[in-house]
Amino acid sequence: MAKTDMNVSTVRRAKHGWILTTIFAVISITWILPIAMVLLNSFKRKAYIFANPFGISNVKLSQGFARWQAGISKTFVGFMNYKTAVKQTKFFQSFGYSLFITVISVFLIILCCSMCAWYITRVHNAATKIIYLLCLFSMIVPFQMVMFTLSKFANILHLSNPLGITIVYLGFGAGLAVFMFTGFVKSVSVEIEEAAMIDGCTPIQTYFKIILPIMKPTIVTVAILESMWVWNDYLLPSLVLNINKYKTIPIAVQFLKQSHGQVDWGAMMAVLVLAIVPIVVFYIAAQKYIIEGVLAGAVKG
Amino acid sequence: MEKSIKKYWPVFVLPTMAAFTIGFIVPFVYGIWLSFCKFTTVVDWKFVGLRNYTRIFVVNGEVDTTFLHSLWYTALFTVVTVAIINVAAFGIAMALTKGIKGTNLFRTVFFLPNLIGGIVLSYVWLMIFNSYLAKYSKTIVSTQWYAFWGLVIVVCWQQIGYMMIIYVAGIQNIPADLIEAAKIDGANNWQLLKNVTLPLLMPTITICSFLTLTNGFKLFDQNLALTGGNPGKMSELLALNIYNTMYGTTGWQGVGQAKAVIFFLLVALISVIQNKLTTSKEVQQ
Amino acid sequence: MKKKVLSVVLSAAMASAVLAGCGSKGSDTAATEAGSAATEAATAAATEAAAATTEAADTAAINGGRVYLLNFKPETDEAWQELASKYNDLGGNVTVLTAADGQYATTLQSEMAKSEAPTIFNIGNANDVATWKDYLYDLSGSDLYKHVSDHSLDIKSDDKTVAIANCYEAYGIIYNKTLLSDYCTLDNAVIKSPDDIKDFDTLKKVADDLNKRVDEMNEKFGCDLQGAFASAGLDSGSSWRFSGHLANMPLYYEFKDDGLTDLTAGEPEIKGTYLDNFKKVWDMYVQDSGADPKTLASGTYNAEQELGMEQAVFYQNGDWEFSALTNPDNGYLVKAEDLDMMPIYFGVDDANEGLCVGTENHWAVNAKCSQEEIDASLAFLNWVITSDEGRDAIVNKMGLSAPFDTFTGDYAPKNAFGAKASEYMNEGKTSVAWSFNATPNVDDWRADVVSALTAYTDGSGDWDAVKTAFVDGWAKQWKLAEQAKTE
Repeated sequence: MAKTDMNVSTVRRAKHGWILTTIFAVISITWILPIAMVLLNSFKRKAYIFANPFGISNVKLSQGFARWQAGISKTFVGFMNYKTAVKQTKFFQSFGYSLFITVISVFLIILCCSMCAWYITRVHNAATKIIYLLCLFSMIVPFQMVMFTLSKFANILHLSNPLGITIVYLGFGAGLAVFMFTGFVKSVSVEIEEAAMIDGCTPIQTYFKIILPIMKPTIVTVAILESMWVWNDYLLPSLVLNINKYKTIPIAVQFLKQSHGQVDWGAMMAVLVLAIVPIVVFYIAAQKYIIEGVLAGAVKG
Repeated sequence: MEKSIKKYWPVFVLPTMAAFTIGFIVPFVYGIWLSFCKFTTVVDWKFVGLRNYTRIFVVNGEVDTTFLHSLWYTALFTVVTVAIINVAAFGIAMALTKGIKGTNLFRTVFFLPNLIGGIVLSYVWLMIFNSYLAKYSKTIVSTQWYAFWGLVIVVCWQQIGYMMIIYVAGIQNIPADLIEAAKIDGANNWQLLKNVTLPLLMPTITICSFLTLTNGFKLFDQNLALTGGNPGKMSELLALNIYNTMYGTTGWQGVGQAKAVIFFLLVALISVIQNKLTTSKEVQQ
Repeated sequence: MKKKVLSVVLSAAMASAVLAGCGSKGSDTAATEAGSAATEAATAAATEAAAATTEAADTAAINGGRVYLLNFKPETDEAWQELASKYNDLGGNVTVLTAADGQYATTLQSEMAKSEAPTIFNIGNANDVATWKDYLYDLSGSDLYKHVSDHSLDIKSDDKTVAIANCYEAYGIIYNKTLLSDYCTLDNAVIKSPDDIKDFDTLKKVADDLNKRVDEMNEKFGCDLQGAFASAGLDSGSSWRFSGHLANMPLYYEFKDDGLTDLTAGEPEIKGTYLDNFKKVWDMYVQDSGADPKTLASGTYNAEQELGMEQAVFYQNGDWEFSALTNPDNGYLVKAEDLDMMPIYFGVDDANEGLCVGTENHWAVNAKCSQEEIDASLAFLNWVITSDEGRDAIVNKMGLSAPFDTFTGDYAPKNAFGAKASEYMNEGKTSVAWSFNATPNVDDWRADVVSALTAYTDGSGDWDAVKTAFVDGWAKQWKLAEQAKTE
């Protein structure tokens, strides 16, 4: 895997680095401007979001400072949009469902798929070969191909709840995970495992004591990739879950628009901020792992 | 050892395979079968042969161009995004491997949009686009081309950071002494790029091109949230077109499923070509 | 007939004014006691009626047979679950399942295929009757039928009453009475009182004049008007007001001309006789509004908010808006007493036109179930409309206006716009039926109409394209829908 650390040796350091730094500082600010705009507008009274999206007062400064200042207080409403948004979308409930579904699904995918990958790499017969090929195959099938049948079967099997959908995620996410774990297991020498088994370990003990710990880097990669997928997924949960009861965050956002009326853009801005903040926090905390995970996934996948 | 592991299949393989069967194998096989049927639920199907497939293009003797329109609109969209994303990501990656101050911060910022889901992201941009375009009495769905470029901007904003990370890794993998040697030989920047960097980056370029290609082809969330296919289905990408056929009109689920099969074949074709290209490139090196 | 009976129910509605109607998805059941304009007499009458019906509730026997209700309205799911568990505590055996939004037809299909099929399900319109003909139990002799106060909302098939409406809604043009009265005091105002608007031409003149004089209004009365009409948004969150509710007007008058007995049943082909009227009304909505006609499809407008914040005087929508507009949490400036509703004057029969009253919610009982299950289902429905628990759930928790004679007093429908519907009927006006219920492949047809309407409005298309989408689109979708049904 490639080195991701960017503090490159001084040999390659550019001569006019500050010019590039300035250019990139400007581009970076532009890059996050959309998010900053949403943050700004989430505190505004609904009526002024589109009337004056880029400003902070509904009165122009040229019309006098006092009027401009009064305009600011008329434009902003504090946390009112957040109050409405949380109430209308039941945001914290959605957050809970999203978190629950993501954590359980990713846990299941990692545990089950790594076990499966180890088994099919170590046991050589027609069945394991077919399993491997099926997993490879599933990676090229777009979700639209199975969406109708998958959601109907999930419904018939009573999987239309947050716990049930994790099984659907395990099934539909198995391809990539098994593929990645298999790639790793293939590179691990069999000798340690054999030694453990000779010492009297059952395959299950061997797996948990020997294999699982050395798989850690791949587990992180798979966990990052699958979390990004499950957390942000809209179509699968919207078709599989009973969405009257269980709305994940993307579904809650989309339903804010679809409800039988026009969009409350104030609430929309607030709910977007609420949806983005946890991601940013998580990203800043686990940046290193996320970038390494993405890289490993891209190169292998 | 193989023998002792073998009998443990119910522990190791069964859970994954059971879920895989429910989540993929059965829906896939049944999905193909249903594309030849008329159905409203999965239990009341009736075999109709190829009728669903012909109905994609001809309805009651009239040519229906919506699917074909989606197809070329998607193709164009994919070509444009592949080009922009890869050129921009490569450019940024080149600059960010020169060791300038703030590199880590810039990388963090560029990658960020990629973590935000398509739905949330699209509403962020919908607000920006419409409030900006309102000054010109236009909206993001005024014409299919506004919708098109809107989608392009959103998707580029989301994916440039991701591809940049991969390009950075690729560029850093180029041995420094190779570059030095070329410099000593008197190569200028352009020659360095054309004759050393780019050829050595070919595997990375292939990976990134195909990632953006399949992403473009399968795009759904952004399409649904940003344009909803408007104006009048003119900005419907393939995935949304299939979704709308399947869930929009009763009695048309079969046609939707048939479209999905065609869609699958297209995506599979791209994947196979990619696989061929990556493997052959690896052999050469 | 419809007029008479419905007006009885609706006059009770005037007693107090609270929220909601059938289709109001966003309406939390936060019951807001709005206009306590209840008269002494109404209160007295209500108490009496309530006493009478409590008696009825006691006589409604609990039947322990299997009941499975497949609920149509997602927003009422919680209230139904609660109600079912209360009934089960009393010895019933009721399950309620709610189909996901927009999934009712497919859910019903798949549930009907199961051995434990639904015993009670929803029938929306004549189309549904055709699909489920063999499954519809004749409700004529039931207690439920006897409590119906407006039999014009029943669905009949071959002289049998096969489905009974469980709520109704009304829509028209919501207007800010206070601001409109303020306008009347201006010099050279077109009218002297809001009541002078009795036809399209007057409405149009008022709207034109008002729209020109918004600055004068704002200066004088301290409002924030941007136009006479609220923006006519053509985004998906608002376009149904025109492709559905406004389009109902030309459909209704055409079906009436054609002598259809059931004005909500529709015809395979339409002529578009009244599309010029449609155009006139639409042009008025667009021209007499502060919104930029070129950006109506952007989704950046919020008409409800414009009326609520006194930025507009007129707003075409339904009684379900009442709760949203008066709910203090929304922070709107309009008050319950400012709000009123008038018919969508269409220039055809304005003198006799009332509000548009209808429903897509009817209970049907599954005839293929055992007699025991059928009896249990009828007993349950009767309990729902007679018991305190049931009526409380329907009126207060679900926020519906129910057309049964047991909904009086504390359980009277609590919606000022609904009450207005009865006022018009008392004046001898005819309520406009919901003919748009007949729309074939409704989403597709509407999408085409909206897209043509958008092009016409932003100047990139012409009116003929709207006509084509309306008339030819109807025939095309009707054919497709028929084909899907018969294959």
